[in-house]
Amino acid sequence: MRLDRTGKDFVVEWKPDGEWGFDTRPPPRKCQVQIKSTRLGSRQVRVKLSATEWLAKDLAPAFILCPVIDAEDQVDHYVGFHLANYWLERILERLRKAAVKREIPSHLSIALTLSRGQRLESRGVRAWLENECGADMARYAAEKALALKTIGYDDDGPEYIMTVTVGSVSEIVECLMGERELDASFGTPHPLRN
Amino acid sequence: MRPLGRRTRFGIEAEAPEEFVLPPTGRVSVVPQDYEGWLVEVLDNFGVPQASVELKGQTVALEGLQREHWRSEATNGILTFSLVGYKATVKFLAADMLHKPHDLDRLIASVEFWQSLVACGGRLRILKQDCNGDQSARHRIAKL
Repeated sequence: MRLDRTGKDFVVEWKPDGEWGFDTRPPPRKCQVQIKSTRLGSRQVRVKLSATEWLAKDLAPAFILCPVIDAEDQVDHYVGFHLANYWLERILERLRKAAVKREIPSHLSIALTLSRGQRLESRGVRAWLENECGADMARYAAEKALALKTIGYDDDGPEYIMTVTVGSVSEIVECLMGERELDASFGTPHPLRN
Repeated sequence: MRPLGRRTRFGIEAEAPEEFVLPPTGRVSVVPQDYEGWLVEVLDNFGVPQASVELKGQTVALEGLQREHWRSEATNGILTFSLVGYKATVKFLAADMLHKPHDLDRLIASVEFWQSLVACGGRLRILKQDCNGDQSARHRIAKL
């Protein structure tokens, strides 16, 4: 057994949906979970930025789950962080700044404020994970891949002037009818809109 | 204004080459999605409709594009209509009926339409439904 160095303490998997054929049933629900325990009264936990990068870049749903321990060393409750939307943006921003400053992510940490997470009782953890993951893993992965590519950019992408080269007018008509592809070349990009 | 060709993320300019805005290379293809509703009627010698069929059509008729290049096509999977310039063509896809499943109502309507078209000598009227459902605004009578 090898030590996991990438922060994924648990890979949580659900059974495949039994209502489908073996070959057609969708990918089973699965997520990555890192445990970060803390004491009752703490306001935040700190996680290595390098660990959050592994979790954030994984296209499966990823969570940081904080068991909050009371004075009797018992779990009082949990706080869950789904590394999507706000937290995905926070992680990518920290990584961007670290890259510019030539800092090493494993030497840095990111603070997760407990009040911004989802407070959970022990019995509610499973249902929360299921709800956050959703039922369609392929769709989740596609949306996360798109978010990783687009979150945080200060523009909508470049604009180009496209030049299409054709041998005759009928080739344009055939392209508009969906019958043919045309070669296109792009000029220098226009200044980006903010 | 920031230098041309750079993107910023979280307010920080791009350093990685893949983030620079470089012209892509590529090809252009079009998948027509805005289909027109066509109602095509067979007309007898007095201009009275004898049979009709509804189809999904698409048209390329652009301002500045010479009329000889205009094209309209429509099909319901059994009948196809093609208008190129001033030439109209109707095809009855009999071979497809053997290999593809078809809705029975559409099949019957298509066969009746074809029989009427042959009986009436190939005179038909095409009504194109515009976006607010008005069919009378644009129509064209063709004689095959």
